[in-house]
Amino acid sequence: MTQTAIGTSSNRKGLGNKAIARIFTVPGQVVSLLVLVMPLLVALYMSFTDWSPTRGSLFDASFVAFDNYSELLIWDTRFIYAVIRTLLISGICLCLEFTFGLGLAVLFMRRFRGKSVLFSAFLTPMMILPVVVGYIFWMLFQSNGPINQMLEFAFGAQATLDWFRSAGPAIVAVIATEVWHWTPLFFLILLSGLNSVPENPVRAAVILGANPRQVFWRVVMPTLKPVIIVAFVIRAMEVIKLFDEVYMLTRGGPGSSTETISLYIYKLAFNDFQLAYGAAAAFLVLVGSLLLVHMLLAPVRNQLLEGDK
Amino acid sequence: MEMNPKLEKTLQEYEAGGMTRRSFLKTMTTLGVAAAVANAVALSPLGAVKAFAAINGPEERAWALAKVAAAKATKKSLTLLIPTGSIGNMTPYVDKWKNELGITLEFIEEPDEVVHTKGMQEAVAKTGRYDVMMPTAMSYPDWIDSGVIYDLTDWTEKHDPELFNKEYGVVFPASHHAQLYNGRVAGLLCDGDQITLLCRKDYLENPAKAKAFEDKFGRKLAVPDTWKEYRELAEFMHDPANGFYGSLEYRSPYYVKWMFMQRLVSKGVLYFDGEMNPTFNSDTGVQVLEEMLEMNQFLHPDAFSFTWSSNYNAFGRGEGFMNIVWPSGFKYSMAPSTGPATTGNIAATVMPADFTKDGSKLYAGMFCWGYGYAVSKYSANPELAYAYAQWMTSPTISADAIPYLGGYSDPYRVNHMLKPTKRLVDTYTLPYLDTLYHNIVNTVPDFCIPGGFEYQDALDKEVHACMTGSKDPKEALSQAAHKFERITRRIGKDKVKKAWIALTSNLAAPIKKAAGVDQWS
Repeated sequence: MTQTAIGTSSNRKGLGNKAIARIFTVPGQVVSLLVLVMPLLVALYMSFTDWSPTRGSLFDASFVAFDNYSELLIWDTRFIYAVIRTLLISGICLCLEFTFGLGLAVLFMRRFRGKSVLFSAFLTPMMILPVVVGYIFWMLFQSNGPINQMLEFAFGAQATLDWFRSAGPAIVAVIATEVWHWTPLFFLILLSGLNSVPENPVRAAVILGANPRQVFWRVVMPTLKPVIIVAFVIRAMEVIKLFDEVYMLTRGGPGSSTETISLYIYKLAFNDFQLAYGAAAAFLVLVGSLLLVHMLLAPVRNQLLEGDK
Repeated sequence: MEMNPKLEKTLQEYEAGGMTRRSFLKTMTTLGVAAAVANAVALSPLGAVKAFAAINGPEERAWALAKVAAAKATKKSLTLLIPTGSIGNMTPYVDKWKNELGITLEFIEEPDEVVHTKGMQEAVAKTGRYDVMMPTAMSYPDWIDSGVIYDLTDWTEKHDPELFNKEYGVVFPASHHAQLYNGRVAGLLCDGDQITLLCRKDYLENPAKAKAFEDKFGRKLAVPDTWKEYRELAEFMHDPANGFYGSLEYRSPYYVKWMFMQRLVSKGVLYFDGEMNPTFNSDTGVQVLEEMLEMNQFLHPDAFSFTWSSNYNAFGRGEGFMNIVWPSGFKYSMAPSTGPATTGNIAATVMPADFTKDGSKLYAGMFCWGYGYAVSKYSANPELAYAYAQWMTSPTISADAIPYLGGYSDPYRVNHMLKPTKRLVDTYTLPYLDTLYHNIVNTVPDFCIPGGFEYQDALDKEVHACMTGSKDPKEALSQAAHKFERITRRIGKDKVKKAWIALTSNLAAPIKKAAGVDQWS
């Protein structure tokens, strides 16, 4: 049956094409609602209760309004420190990953021998499971592991560290692992960005007498700005959820000095089974992440959404 | 219980001296008696008839129940959630369950620290995936409250696993604090997780060291009796230049809290008072942390990353003079495969004593961890699951299961320590089993109260932060106390207090007196 025929028969019964289209999309919308929105609403409701599995079902739990949220934001220093620590680790990781990723991307804009092999090699870390990366680096950072042996070879025994015994070195280990793992993503995105920079403005700048540095900073980088921001947003969303590597490397220790927000929420929900309290913490992080992404995208939002105009 | 006439005749003949041990065991096997029972009866000082009647009861009753439940069961398998490293104590019996009952035993292994989580997840998900679950004593309060496991009291009254029998029961007070929650049976203990102190006997018996020690300290070189002596011995034996360290005491996350709790209870201080106010954030608690910090200089360098297995391995390789271990650590150190340097070279003792505020000497140990069998509320065959738990923990089968090296289950019944089978003696030695008995009677449990894991985690974090230098002792303990107060408030003071009072009411009298438990309402 042709589309015209459907329209004709439908019109006869009083239903237009739009109405039929809506009817056909209803099952999909219902499924989306059940799969996406309902769990979110249940979790939101849960965050306003004091539910834990030791108190019967969720619907037996007492409604405590904003108690969980006020506890988290005012009294729970472990949560507050976890947020600050996560932002700090995220900031450092993003800056380092961007710097190394951009350096590699610029390098790969040139021609050199073995480029295609190296290209694959540099992308490899990104393909390894985070939990595996965490375990590999846990072994590397052991007190008698290869990193300490290299330090000993280079600077003598006094340069070796017990990496997971104090806060500073443990955070350095976490950052090093994360940077090693995810710099390739920046590299890949920025290399794609560099390749798509139009040649004409570059040529024009060269003709007008700009040196390579001026061309890079004044012509290439402004053109690359949306790509850089998108790369930052993608990685920021991921690094805020940092869990696997910290779990494998330090379990949040020593003490709770490397505990990220994901690890803390995991402990609340799945170690202590404070599910309602954990849900409240997760919602705070969700709201915070949305605001962060909103701010990060602000400079290029209009440019990215111009197709809607 | 009526006894088979042939069996009775055999027992009487053996008792009267009319039969050798070998022919007795052979006849018993012919009569269908389990090898473990026959062996235990043959070695019992009670006399064969009495011993058989006493020790064969729980096993036989459990087996009878298992037969009935297995015949009724539509699902011909039992799934067991167990901690990694414990399977070796259970696998020897898989074939018997399969061949004689038609029941397949399926083991799901999870890391130690995950078992509690899995149980709580089951409380939410209610999948029925597990029949028998093997938590530590600390899980029972939360698991019972969340409805994921059965209260076993009615079953134990009906089938009598002889938990409190003076000759074959679980040793008091572990019988109470590792199996009961608010006076009701929540699980059957299968692992006597107390900690004791091991020393290198060959170093203690070294004449040159003995003389040097006596010259320096004016007393004989021997296992330490007090924490002060322990520290002096650690310093004396500490020889880092040769890769030999004073002690292998834990300073690693997850384990370090037990070192703090042990020293604290040795001074007669528990974790809370009778009103659930934390008590460790006192001058005594600060003193304990300072003593631990001072001790750090004589510890193995890996003390900050030890897990139980790496600790056992380091001690077995001969890298230290003393070690604070669960009894499985002794088992590892005794076996040539896992303790090449320590086989035959171990002298063990109860945990060192300390002095209370009034100056009296107090011996206190820690019953920390302690696995047991619990029955899932969502099991398709709960009676069969219970039968398995009672059968495995019966005086006879448990005595047979514990010595297997492939698992870390440790002695916990009176007969394991005071009337051991030959295999138990071969594995643990008579002096160590005697040490275990004298240590366990003075043990203080973990936080076996609602929210136990939260309390423990909070304390562990702060003690560890102190040990690594991030916080000073007072600050660390104040913050831990603050966290404790918040946990108590959130869970409900009345609920936690009820469990705490029930838990502490079963401590040894000297510990109760030192901690003032008798004065609590």
